Order: sequence, then structure tokens, then C-alpha cells
Amino acid sequence: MVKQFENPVAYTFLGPFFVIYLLFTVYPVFQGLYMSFFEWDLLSPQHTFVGLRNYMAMFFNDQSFWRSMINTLQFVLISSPIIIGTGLLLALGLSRSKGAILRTMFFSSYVLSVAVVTLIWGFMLNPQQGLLGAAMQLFGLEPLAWLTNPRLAMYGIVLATLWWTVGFNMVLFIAGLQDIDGYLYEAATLDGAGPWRKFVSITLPGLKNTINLVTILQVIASFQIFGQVYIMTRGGPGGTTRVLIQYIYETGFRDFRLGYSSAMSILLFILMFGASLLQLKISQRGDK
Amino acid sequence: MRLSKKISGSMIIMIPIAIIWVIPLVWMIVLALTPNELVQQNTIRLLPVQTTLANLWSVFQKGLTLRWLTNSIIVTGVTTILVVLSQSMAAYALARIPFRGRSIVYPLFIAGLMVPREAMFIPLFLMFARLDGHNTYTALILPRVAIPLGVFLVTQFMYAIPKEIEEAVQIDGANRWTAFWKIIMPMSLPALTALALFTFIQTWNDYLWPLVSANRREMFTITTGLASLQGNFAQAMELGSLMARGLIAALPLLILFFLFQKHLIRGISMTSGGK
Amino acid sequence: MKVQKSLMLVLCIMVIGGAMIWAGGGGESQISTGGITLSLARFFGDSNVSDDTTDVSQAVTEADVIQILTNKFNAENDKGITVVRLGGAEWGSYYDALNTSFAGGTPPDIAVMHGSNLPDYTARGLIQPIDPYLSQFNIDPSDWTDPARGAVMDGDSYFGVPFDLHANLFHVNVDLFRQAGLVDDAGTVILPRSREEFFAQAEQMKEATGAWYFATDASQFPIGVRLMFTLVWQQGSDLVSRDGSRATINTPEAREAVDFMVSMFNQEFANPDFNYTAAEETFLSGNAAILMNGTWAVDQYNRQAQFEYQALDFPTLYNQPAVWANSHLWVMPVQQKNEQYEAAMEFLAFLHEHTGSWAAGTGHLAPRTSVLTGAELQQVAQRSNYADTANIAVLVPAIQNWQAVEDILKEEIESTWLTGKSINNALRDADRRINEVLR
Repeated sequence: MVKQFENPVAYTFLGPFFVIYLLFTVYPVFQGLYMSFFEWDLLSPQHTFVGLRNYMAMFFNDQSFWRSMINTLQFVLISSPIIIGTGLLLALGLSRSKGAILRTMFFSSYVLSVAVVTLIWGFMLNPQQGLLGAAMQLFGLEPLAWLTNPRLAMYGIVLATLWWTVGFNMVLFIAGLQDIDGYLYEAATLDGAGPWRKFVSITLPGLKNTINLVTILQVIASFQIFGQVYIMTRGGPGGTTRVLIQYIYETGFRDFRLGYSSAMSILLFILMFGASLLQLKISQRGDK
Repeated sequence: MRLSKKISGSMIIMIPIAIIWVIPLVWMIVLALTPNELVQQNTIRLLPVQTTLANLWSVFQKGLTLRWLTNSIIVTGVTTILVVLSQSMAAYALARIPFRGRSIVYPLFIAGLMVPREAMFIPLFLMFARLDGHNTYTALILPRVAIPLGVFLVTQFMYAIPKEIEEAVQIDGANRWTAFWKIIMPMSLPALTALALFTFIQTWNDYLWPLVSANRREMFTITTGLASLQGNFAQAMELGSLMARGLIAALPLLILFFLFQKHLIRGISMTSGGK
Repeated sequence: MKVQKSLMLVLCIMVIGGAMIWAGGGGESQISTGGITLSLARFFGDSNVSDDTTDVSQAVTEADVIQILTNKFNAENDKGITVVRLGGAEWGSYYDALNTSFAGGTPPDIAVMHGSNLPDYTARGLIQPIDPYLSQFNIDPSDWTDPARGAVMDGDSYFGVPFDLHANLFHVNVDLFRQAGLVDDAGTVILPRSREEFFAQAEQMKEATGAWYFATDASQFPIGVRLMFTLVWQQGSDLVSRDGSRATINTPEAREAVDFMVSMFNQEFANPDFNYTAAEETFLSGNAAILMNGTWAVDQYNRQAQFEYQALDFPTLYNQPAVWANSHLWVMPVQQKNEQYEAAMEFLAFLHEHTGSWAAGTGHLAPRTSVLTGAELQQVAQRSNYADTANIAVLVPAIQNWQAVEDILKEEIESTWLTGKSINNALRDADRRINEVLR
């Protein structure tokens, strides 16, 4: 193994993307960081330097911030395992060449825009007008009012999100399954191993990188959920589904306080970064 | 023998699940084909009572739908190509070339996934406004190319390619470029296909940035263009039309997926020696 | 080999694409040579009508009317002005797009706004006052109804041209009322005149017909909660102090208003789970006697109701008549460079002249007394049934951050019937939270 650095070559490969990234991702973030130390009005050129006051207010003086943080964490913890697990199950069933039509059926929900998905599920979950309610009545049950019930609303959103986004995980797991040597399975079969044994000893280890990838992406996406909540429940009923991005959006665009909004974004960013680093460290410990 | 039995076994379970899975979509299509007035009376219907093509047809009569489709195709196509090329190059460096600074660059790229875009897009907007760059394809393309999903995704997949394959080529005198184009990229086809599909779909459905950046009617994408057709309380008054528009916007993506998803499946395993 | 071919194809597309990007892709802008182009931002949606339709009677929807009016202006004005619409927003994102354009220093020449949002912009000096242009363009503020005038005023100046008032109405299924014995011999619907009568009628309706007495969107848009505003105002109280410095939610009147609604839901005279479409569907299918919704729906229900339908004023249930209303108005954002205020005023004055067409085509209330009592509107179906709403309409307080206040009120008050929160706690929390956002 050649261990010396090949800097010039590496930098050439990195270069094009690096420049674009610096300009259009890094710069806005630093600008946002800068704004977070100000009381920055969205509409007028009125910007007052306030130092750490936004951060202090956020931590010590803002119930809505903590409630939306908790709602967000709730959503992340509930939805991530479900969506990751379902993606894996679907991929396991559909990773042979014959499954083209089935794969398309399961992926078809992912190509819809958030506006359409929330429209469909807003109706599906409605007790008066939705298919779910009608189906429940067929079985003699009282239709559930998902989105207006504080205990069910979050699950309604998880359901809609699962239907919408599981195709993403499914495709990644399918791609990941391609890199597992087929002969390993045949050898295991000859040794008399059953399907569960094969799954645990061959599939899971072979999917390690993919599982990492999917988990981090899923967690990041769950932390940033916004559209479904905003359109389906607007954070209700009674603020029980208001997530952090909704609060960030309302603070910046409805209340015009861009500085405070940026401070919360920075905090969310740090939170996600920490969570991802943690996960990478844990997975790397089992590596090499 | 046992392997093929296992395949058909899982298919048998998948088929009914798939059918249930697409019921909401079927409902959407039914609504798209139902006249708006009928939908207002009753939305619970899986079988259409009366069908009409008017909702679909009117999408092409109103506004500049064909122009919007063209805009979307150009913006999304170019974005996808730039993303796949530039980010897989970067991923190759991160995954397979030792260099100084790697421990900083990789986390730096990944951090870009954690930027809440709704919150950060005003600085981006101001940047383009200062350069008078709005209402251009460039403004719609470049910020999306900067989203590092591909770097993360492709790096993780490129880790899995055995080092021996590349070393064999290098012994023959080929440099990193040749190794990249002739060996690594073809071997990464499933990952690249996934990336291309995701980038295409996400860029196509992007709403907020095109909304504020491309506000001249002839520059709308299909997503913002169709949104501009909506009247007040549209979901009450014209649900059929809303569904029809959603269908038209989504159909190209579905076709794209169906055509390209075979590249997600690798015929022969990487390590078995086939090509 | 196949992969190489694909790569070649990709490279070609890249080159072509790059060339197109460089070509600017800005598209042909519709700048008329030698003429003035005004950029217009508006909601209302898009219309089927072609660019040369100028006959307002062909309009079916709000979008149709405003588009036809714009076409008419473009075709008929003698100053060479062309009005071009910008923006691809659906309703919810209109203000996001507008605010971003303000933030970027490039607001449109003309924009439509809700009266409830205007204070946020006038407080920051972002809107051009129209006072200097009033006499030049024959705009007479004394012709405006009082609520309409209040909508465009800030301090002593006028900051825009009122286009309409839109208020909540009682959309009534007369057949159901007749079945419940609530239509008098002259054929007039008997509406309640007090809380007791309201609940008595509801009981009567339930027994006679089994239908919901009252339907409204109580969980999706802030429509149901505006019933609470109406009841508070009818008792002579308000939501915030009129100078906008303090919330006045924790009052007996507010408590009474919320209690009214909670009782209505608890006694099953109305359904708290209804969203906008469910409430409307229930009404149109004949299962609700009253639908509380806005003026925008009058023509739609008139066309589609399979029963005898009337759009009626919100009845006075307490001390004084009042009903929630908002307004649409047209403003000229202050321009940093290239101001075209005179040209913009031409269009604003034109719209001001045609508020009758707007009201006739949409169901909203005209802001001008001369138009309200004029011949054009008397002919249109249903308008005389709710003509009094123009006088009893009450606008929300003209304060900054009203949107935040309304959101807080919606959330807290909805909690009382959706999550079982106690009325006292809801009002107390609403009071506290509103005080935090008031400026």
C-alpha cells in the first residue's frame, strides 16, 4: 500500500466541486452565522448587533423553542427506525433483476412533490373524506381523526413521510446489496445455514457502509422535516407537532426576525453535526 | 435452485403490499380524471363515477406549461450531470487517494447536508441579487450542485471497491484519471444511478428557491409554474385540477425511474471476476 | 462500451447545456419598446383567459376577473403602460416571495396585500403613500366605507387603494331551515339573535332533520377561530388594545366566546374535526344547515348548491353587530431606483374604478359606497342578501405582527376543543404569548 500523499492529484479531483461548495454552501452558512449575532430585520436594513443575546434567549427564555426541539426529537426517534427498517425490508425483497415493476411501484411515491403528498395524505387521514376512514368503517370501526388528535397527529405525519420517502432508502439498500458477493450466500447454503443466519452473518456486515449512509441521511432528513408538518397540521393541534424548522421559518419569515432565526438554524446544524459525528465514530470503531 | 425459490417467495409477499402501497396514487389519478364539481361533493372514491380529461388538458392551456417543462428539463438535467461528475470526482479523492487535509475536507463536505435550507437561503438570495443574477438558469443550477449528497453517497460506495483492482491498472502504467474513468466509475454504476435519480427528482421538485429566484413567468420551473395556477382554497374548489397538475409534474420522473432503475442492479458481483 | 457511449452523450448534453446557460436563459422579457413596463405581484391564481380577453362578464373565478382587468388596462390605457405579472407562488407562499423581494431590494412596482399585513410594511417605510396622487387620479376617500378606509390608513396617510372587503357570512341551506320550522311565512330565514336562540335553534334542527346546525373549518385554516373574534367584538371587547401595546385576551368576553364554541362542539351541533373541505362538503351535500365561510364562496355555492341557498349576514348574537373581515388592497412599494409611481397609479386608479366588476365577479364586498349602492351590484345574485355586511364588518387590529398574533390565537383556542385544554389556561397562555410578540 502506497502511503504517501498524492496531494496534487487529489486536489484536482476535489477542485471543481470544492469551489462550487465554498461559494454556494459555505458562504451562506457563514453569512447566517454572522446574522445570528444581530437583531436582523428581514424587510428593512435595520441590523443591531446583540452579541450572544439570541442564543441566550433561545436557551433560557423560549418555551416554544424547547417544545419544537422536543417535537423534532420525537419525530426523529420514531420515524428513523421505521423508515430505515422498511427500506431495508423492501430492498431485500426487490434486489433481483426481475423486480422492475414492483420497484417502480414502491418508488413511485418518492417522485411526487411535497405539495402533492401532503394533499393526498391530508385527505387520506381525514375522518370524513379519507380512504383510511372509509376503510375503517368497512371493518366496523370508528374513523380516526388523525391530524386533529394530539396523540395521533405525529404518527399521521410519520405515516405520510414513510410512504413518501422510503423509496430513497430502498434504492440505496438495493445498490448496497449489489456489492455483496453472491457466492457467500451459496457457500452458506451448502453449509446448511438458514435465511436468518445468512442475513445476520452475510447481509448485515456486507451492508455496513450502506447502513451507515442511510442512517445518517435519514436522521439528518428527519431533523429537517418541515413541509409535511407545515401543510398537514401547521404544527397543531395545539402546537404538538410544531417542529424546529417550522419555528425557524416562522421566526424569520412571519415575525421578520432573521437574526434569531439564524441562531436557531446554527444550533440545529450543530446538533445534527454532533449526532452524525457520533454515529461515524461508533461505526468506525468496528472498522479495519 | 433454492435461490430462485427464495426469489419467488418474496415476490408473493411483495405483490399485495405493492398494490396497497399504490392505492393513494390510484386515488390521486382517479381524482385527476374527475370533474372538480363532483369532487367537491365527495372525495372518497376509488372508482370514478364520471371521467374527464379536462383537468389534464387545461394544464397545457393555461400558462406556459411547455416552456416550464423545458426550463425544468434544462435546469434539472444540467444540475444532475454536474452533480454526478463533480461530486464523484471529489468522492474518488476522498475514498481512494490519500492526501493532506482529508480529515478536514470530508467532515466539511458532510456538514453541508445539515444546513437547514429554509433558514439559510436569504444570504444566497442576496448574493445573486447583488450580481443581478436572478431569473437565470445559472442561479437555479449552481446552488443545487453545491448540495453534497453525492459526495457522501459515492464516497461510502467507493470505499467498498477492492484496492487490488486499481493497483493492477496502475502497475500497467495508467494514472489516476484513467483508473477513475475506466475502472472506478463503471464499477460504481449502482451508486451513480442512485445519485442521478435522487438529484434529478429533488431538483425537479424544488420549490422554494425557484420561487424566489425565478419570478418571471417565462422562467418558472414546472413546479413553481403549476403552483402559480392555484386559486384560493384550491383544495376545496379544484382538487381534481390540483391532482392533475401533480400527476403531470411527476410523470416524467416516474418514467425516468422506470427506464434507469435497471442500472441499480449489478448483473454480476464485483468480486467474482466478471466485467 | 455502453457506459462509454452514455458518457459521450452526457458530455454532449453538458456542452449544450453550458451553452444554454451562458446564453442567459432569461427568456424574452415582455418589455414593450418605448413603453413603460410595470411589474405586478399578486395571488388569486392563474386564469384560462387569453391575453386579449377584456370582457369582464366572461369571468368565472377571482383569477379570471383580475386577469381580464389587467388585460383591459394593458389594451386600453393611452400611456403605453404594460402590466406584467411576476411570481409563481401559490397562496401560502405569496408573502414569502414578496418579502424576499423586499429583502433583496427589488420589490415589484405594484403588489396586492391583505389589510392585516399592511402595518408590517408601512411601519418600515416600505410603501409609498398615495396622498399626493388622490386628486390627480380622481380617487375620493370619502366614497370609501369606513372599514375600507381603515384598511389602507396608517396615521394620517393612505397607503394603498382598497379593492374589497371579504367577511364571514352565514351560508344557509334554506330547505333545512324550512324543515326545522325556522322559516317564517314571508319565506325569510329566521336567524338567532342571541346565544340562547342559537342553541335552541340548533336543538330544533337536530331533532327535525338530524343535520349539523353549524359547520365551519375548525381545524385547518384560521376560519373557525375567527368566529371567536366575531363573538368578542359583538360583546364590545377586543383582542388587543387599540394602540396595539397589550393583549386583551384574558377577559370575560373572550371566555364567553370560547365557551360558546366549545359548548357548540360538545353538544354536537358542530364538528370540531372538520377541515375546510370537510365542512364545505358537508354543507353542499345537504348535511349542514349553516356553513360559516367567507364571501369568496358565494358564487361557487350559488352555482353548485342543489338546495335553496342564501348568503346572509352574520347575525348579531350579543350587544352589537360585528363580523370578522379582512381586505385586499393594492400598494406601490417604495423603489430604490427606477420609480414609476405615476404609471403605477394609473393602474391603481383603474382598479379602483372597477371594484364593481370585482365585487360582481367574486362575491367580495366593494369598498366604495357608490359602488355598493350602485346598479351594477344590485343585479347580481345573492348580493342584496348580505349587503349589510359592508357596514358591520370589523377589521382585525392594525398592528405589526398580526400574523403571529392570529397564529397564537388559533393554536391556543383550538386547543380547547382539540386537545381538551381548559379555557382559562388557553386564554392565559394566549395573552402571555401575544404580549411577547407585540411591538
